[in-house]
Amino acid sequence: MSSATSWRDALKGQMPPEWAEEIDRFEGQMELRRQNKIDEKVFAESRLRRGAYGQRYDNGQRHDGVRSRALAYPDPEITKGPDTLWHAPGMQRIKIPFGGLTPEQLEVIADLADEYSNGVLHVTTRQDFQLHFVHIEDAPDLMRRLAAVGITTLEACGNVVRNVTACHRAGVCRTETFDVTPYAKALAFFLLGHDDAQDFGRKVKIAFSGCEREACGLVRMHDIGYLARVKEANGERKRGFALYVGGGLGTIPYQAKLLSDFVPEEEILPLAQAIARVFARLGEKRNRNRARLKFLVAKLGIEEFRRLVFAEREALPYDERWTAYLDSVASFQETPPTHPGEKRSVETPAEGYEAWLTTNVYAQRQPGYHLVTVHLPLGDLSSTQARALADIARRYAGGHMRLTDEQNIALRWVADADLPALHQELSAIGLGNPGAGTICDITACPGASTCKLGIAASRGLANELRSRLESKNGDLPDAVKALRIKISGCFNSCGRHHVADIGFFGNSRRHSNRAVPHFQVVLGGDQSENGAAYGLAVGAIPSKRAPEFLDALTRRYAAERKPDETFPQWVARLGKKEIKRMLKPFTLVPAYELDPSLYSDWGDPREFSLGDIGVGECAGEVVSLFSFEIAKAEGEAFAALLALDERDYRQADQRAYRAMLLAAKALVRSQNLDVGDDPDRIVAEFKSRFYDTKLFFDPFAKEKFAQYLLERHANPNPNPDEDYAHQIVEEANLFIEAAYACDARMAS
Amino acid sequence: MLPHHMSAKLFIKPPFCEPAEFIPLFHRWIQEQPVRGLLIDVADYRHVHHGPGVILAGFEGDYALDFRDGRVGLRYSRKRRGWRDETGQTDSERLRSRLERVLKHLFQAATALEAEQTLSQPVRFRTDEIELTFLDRLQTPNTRETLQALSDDIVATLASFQPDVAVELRPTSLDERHPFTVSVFLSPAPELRTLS
Ligand code: SF4
Repeated sequence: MSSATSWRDALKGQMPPEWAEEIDRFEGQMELRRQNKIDEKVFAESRLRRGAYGQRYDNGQRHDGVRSRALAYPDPEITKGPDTLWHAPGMQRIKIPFGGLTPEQLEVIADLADEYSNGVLHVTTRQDFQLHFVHIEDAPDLMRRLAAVGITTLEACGNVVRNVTACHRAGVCRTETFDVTPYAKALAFFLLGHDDAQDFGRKVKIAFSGCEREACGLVRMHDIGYLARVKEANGERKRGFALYVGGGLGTIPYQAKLLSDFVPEEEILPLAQAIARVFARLGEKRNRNRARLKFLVAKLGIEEFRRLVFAEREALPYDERWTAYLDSVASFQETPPTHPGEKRSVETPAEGYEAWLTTNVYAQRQPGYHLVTVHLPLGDLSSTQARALADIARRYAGGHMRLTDEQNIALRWVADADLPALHQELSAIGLGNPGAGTICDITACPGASTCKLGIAASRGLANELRSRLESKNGDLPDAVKALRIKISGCFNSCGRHHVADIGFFGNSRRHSNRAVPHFQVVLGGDQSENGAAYGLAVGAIPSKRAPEFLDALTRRYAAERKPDETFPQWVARLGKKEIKRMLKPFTLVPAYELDPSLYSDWGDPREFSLGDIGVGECAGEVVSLFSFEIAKAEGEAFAALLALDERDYRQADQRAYRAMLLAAKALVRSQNLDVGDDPDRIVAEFKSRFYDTKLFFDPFAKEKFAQYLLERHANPNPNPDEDYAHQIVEEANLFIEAAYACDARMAS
Repeated sequence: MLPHHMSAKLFIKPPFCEPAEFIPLFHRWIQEQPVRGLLIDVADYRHVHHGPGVILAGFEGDYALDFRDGRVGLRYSRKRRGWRDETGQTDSERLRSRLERVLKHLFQAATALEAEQTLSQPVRFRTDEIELTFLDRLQTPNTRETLQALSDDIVATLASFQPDVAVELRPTSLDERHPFTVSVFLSPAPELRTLS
């Protein structure tokens, strides 16, 4: 039994110190926001950058099917962002770089789901986890418990580099050029919190893929995509990547452009940094609808963008981290659990074993081992299942798991002889279902269930289609089984409907003065070759008619397709006119009085309304670099105050000093992005740019506030006592105020 | 040893209606508010094997038609940290009053459910067993020490609802990774209406 009374104390020493400090700082910012001492927009971006996201109804309004009603949260005057009430529960995103997960991490996330959410872990299309209905007060402890097992939620949302994804088969794939895992990991942690990746107008998504042909990495639909390549030169095989930029889905999907057909491995980090700097400098900041990297690449043209990036690369100050990780790449290897064929087997496999073997088991390139996909309906699993799965992963997979971008969990290194026993154990916890990677394995974003922007019930439709398809899966022709369905609740494409054979995205139509939930049908997308082709919208049908339409479409495809004709090819052959004609009967909406069922959505009996759509936080808040950086200083100053309360004077002194450094850095970065974290450098830059120039000087107090930092930096107190700590905490606060005033003077 | 988050569950007797019927029912509860607390939305997790089923998500806590461990029941989970003013109370008094609050929420919702006329099968609860889960691994890890430390307060709290009932506690799992959960057996089984 722990004697500690808080997770902060209980996990002391188990969290990486910089992450622990970061979380303390966030807790400080939370308190300041509660006291209305930080602007709500700045706090919102700060919160989003820690993965603490808004959720539907957090503006305190909900349409109950008859009328919009207020949700009477306490203290409605306290907000955690524009139109976002402090007490309204939200979503916590937990990013898992390249989807790589250990059993211990899975167990902790299960605990968090139990204690702070509703006992369900949700896997996303970006290899993240999401927990819903989380209270903001629980966020710091939740983050600490993750940090103690090596997970940070930093930059899981907001206008930053989001989770870096990679093929879930990386390292065991039969068609990969080489294992991209160590590169994805290195880039993810290199860019995490990197100074050059903090001032974007929108988020940046990065993916790695091991090969050209397969679907896994989907690099062509990413802002930045790395495709593994090997080049032979002078008899040597050199590893590198084809580098793509400016792809993305969203309302209008863009195919990424080739920036370079071969970037040697030692250049991938600096080039990403150079891209980040060009994007931060030239990317749109005001109009969030045009702020993704794809718009900048399209606006400049790939040649000019390439020129700018390589010029930026030349100018970058050297960073040893660019290549430091390369030493460990060669030795990067997962340890298989045991030699194939040595472990347990069962006499009678569980029901459905053969079907599961066909769809969920992939022979690794390492003979005798398999990658097994645990098919999660709608990407969900319970905390109890998660704990059991962690045990199973230990026993059968050497603990090696990856989240997949189709919202499943892959177990790697499963030995041949273990497959029947593994299937039996998975079946016992309800996770032995076949159908991974088939038409039954439907991808869906949260949609109107929890997303603030959701129009239609993407999860509701996915659930309905899944249960119908599963009930007749045995009778479906193989060509139909192989199709992929992806559903988004709105045009923003989080469900990736553009790269499905059959995609749907939610919208709304009016009939007899009432709103009717619809889904736009998107046909002909192709996720092979890393998302080679995007589907096109062919027309909208009422949500409740989508299953009938799917049935008619797949029947016709099975009946009319030529041998070896793929679905996109068949769609192209059929032509838009014929597809429209086929769609027509399904578009009809009877009068409400005749059939009101069409006026509500799947899994939601309320009469459909658009009244609950709020302002999304996908884009984050665009706040100035100074505002964001100074908020860090405020959080640190608050942590200093807490340390003072706890009579930890050394800690109070150090945090107050750090708060001043952060505030100085916030100012310096508005003139020089490369200031870094070295206190000597920050102080020198501050002195030359703001002290010597008198820019920082208060009209009345003159240099007084600047002296607080300069004095503390030059003469640290080895034994701070209460009086000293008190004084320096006060000084830190005054210094921060002076930084604000300085920024305001410069802006005017 | 004072947990912030805890839940209580009553089990439903067979036969039982289609779980899908709880979706419109819970939506109606949001409109009519027959139970305590601020209600927000309904979440459908019927596709999760032995999962939380259909959740009526609230601000202070969630109600759920719950299928954990394959046992169908009504669960109330208190999720919010802030409790009513507890100044001057001992930890034991606080625990009792928190538990009492959770149980009151559960009993009131169970009573409302038994009174429902819209379901294809009326719901009837067993009252000889209540499952309590303390969702706070820091304060209440799943250990014998926790059981020892909390037993008296749990028994006393249950007795406050029905003084002449014999209360027996049995932990449901010894796996330290699981949240501390006890089955509370009441004998003789009290009437639901005397509890609520
Ligand atoms: S696609 Fe739309 S509904 Fe779905 S998660 Fe994205 S913003 Fe929300």
